[in-house]
Amino acid sequence: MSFDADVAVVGGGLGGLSAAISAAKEGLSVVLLERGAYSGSKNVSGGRIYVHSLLKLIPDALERAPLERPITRETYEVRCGDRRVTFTFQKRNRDSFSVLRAKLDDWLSHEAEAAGVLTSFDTQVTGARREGGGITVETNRGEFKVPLVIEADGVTAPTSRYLGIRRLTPEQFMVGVKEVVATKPELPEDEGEAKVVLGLTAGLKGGGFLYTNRESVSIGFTVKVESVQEKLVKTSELIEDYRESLGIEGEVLEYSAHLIPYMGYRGLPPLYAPNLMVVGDAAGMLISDGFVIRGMDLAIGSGTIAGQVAAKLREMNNFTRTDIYQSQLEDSFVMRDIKAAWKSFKGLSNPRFYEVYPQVICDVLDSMFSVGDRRLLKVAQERLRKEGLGLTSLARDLLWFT
Amino acid sequence: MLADLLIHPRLVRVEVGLNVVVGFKVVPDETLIKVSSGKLDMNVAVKISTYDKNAIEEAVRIKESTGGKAIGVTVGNTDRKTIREALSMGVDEVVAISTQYTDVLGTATAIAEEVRSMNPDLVLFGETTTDGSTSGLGPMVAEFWGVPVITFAKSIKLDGKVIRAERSLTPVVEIVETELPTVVTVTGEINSPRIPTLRQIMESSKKPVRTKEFKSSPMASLDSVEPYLVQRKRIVLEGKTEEVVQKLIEALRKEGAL
Repeated sequence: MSFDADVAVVGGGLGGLSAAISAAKEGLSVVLLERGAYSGSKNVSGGRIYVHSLLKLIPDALERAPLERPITRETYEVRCGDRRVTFTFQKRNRDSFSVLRAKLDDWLSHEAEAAGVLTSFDTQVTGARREGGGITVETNRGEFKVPLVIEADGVTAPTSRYLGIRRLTPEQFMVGVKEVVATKPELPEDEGEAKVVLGLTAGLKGGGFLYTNRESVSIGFTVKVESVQEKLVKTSELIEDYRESLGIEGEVLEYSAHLIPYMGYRGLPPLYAPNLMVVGDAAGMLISDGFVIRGMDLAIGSGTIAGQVAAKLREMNNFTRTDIYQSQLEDSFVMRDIKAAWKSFKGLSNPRFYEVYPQVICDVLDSMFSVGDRRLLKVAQERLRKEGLGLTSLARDLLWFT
Repeated sequence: MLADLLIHPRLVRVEVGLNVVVGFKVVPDETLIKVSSGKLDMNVAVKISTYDKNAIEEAVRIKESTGGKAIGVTVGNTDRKTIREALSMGVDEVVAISTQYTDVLGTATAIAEEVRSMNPDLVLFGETTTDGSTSGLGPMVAEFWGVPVITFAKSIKLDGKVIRAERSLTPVVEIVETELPTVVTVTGEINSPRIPTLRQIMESSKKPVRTKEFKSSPMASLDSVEPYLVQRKRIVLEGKTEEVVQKLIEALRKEGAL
């Protein structure tokens, strides 16, 4: 059986491009298939990347990549009606940056081209089947036979579904809605802010975000799909309210919405099958523990590993041994961090964090800053009792995060 | 081959392999250009200029039906991936001439130099590019090379060394005939450019791309590119319908719209 290339990477986002770059650097012939007209044209992300894994792949990325601002301010904001609680943690660092994916992914695709990857845009994979010891990928540009596919086709993982190893259910997803608004942040040029906003998603399970870019801000929120279904709200209307509540004015440059994997370590889909490795969103790789939301660094990390394993498999001349990918992932930051975030992931599924605690925090602080009963614990206890909760249940809920 | 003959019966009688040169330009994808706070964001993905794709398709069809050769020439931005698209559509090789900013006269000079040395039977261009929109390139190259030019062709028929074309001149169609060698610029109606297959894309990376430099001092300089914006008047008339209608008519009269 003759093949058209060593490996086909399905999807030209950060995961797929990283996989393609690392495989091409190992000397494999790599074809990358991207549905959009260019990389970054179809995906959506909040807009913050932790750069450690990008720097492993491209050591001088900080000098060359189109990053927006280093995130030096972490702000939490709890809204309850017209009251709000805000705190900001400031630290100068270059660990994470705000990004606009249309620029970042496009840049990385040129890096891939330079590394010898053959990229094919406007190329949609419409099916995949096992044949002759490899996988035949069906596309709008004809069929393509390879011994190995790296699947980086995003949250809905079509390739896995074509091959019959994956089914989707609504509780596996959140929906993210985002706008990029033209407004120059009032911050020094070398500083950026990331904000988590609770209490502005109209009772939906989720939270809001804001990231400052160079000349714009990215705002939006992520909510569980089933809660959108339950409450019958339109996310496109919610984001208008959200923008107004944040007091942000300016030309809306972009509106986008996308599914986000919400699976956690125990809920991860199959990460490999013979002749197949799954990376990034397609593999459900997302960490959301209440403090950080990370997906891009996991996509780059898992992609890089998949590319290296691809080279090893070719050396072994056995493309069915993709289980090596899983074990290398387990030994890497990717699985270590996803595993560590598992508890807080479950904690965040607790509706009290969205429905009860923001109100309680506001009420307690309201008393603390008023004349009257100002014993913190007593006020908190009384307020919680109204919700049918005690201090112990609060403590137990918070313990998920420790 | 048989399929080609069935699709292009008009080319069946051609027996000699024709050598076709096709010019195409790498331009910013105009569908991605955005206007933001009064400025154009031109830093967007590039593509083959829309009608140049029709020219490439026509060149490849002629090459396929006559067993000749199709050579691409591009001047300006020599983006590798975009050039590969032309190659994967069936162009045999590309001469990529990089320049700093040049006007259409500079581009025509560079291409005419190549054309003279290649001495092809036919040179094809798109009727106009989506960035410069001069429609001048084809006629200029023809002039420099000293051959006839047919512009705005919506169909071409070849019979030996005779070329017959329908020129799409709204509201009439002109049918013209001349002898090769000639320059033809084509409209979007002439064909539907093919979508190359993955295998063709892979093969295209093995086809030759000759890179060259071209220096010229433009006769016309580009001072700035500004978005063309229509400012709304932002006048809101309020009140009862019958009164407002009267006011609206007056306002339109004042503006000279009525």
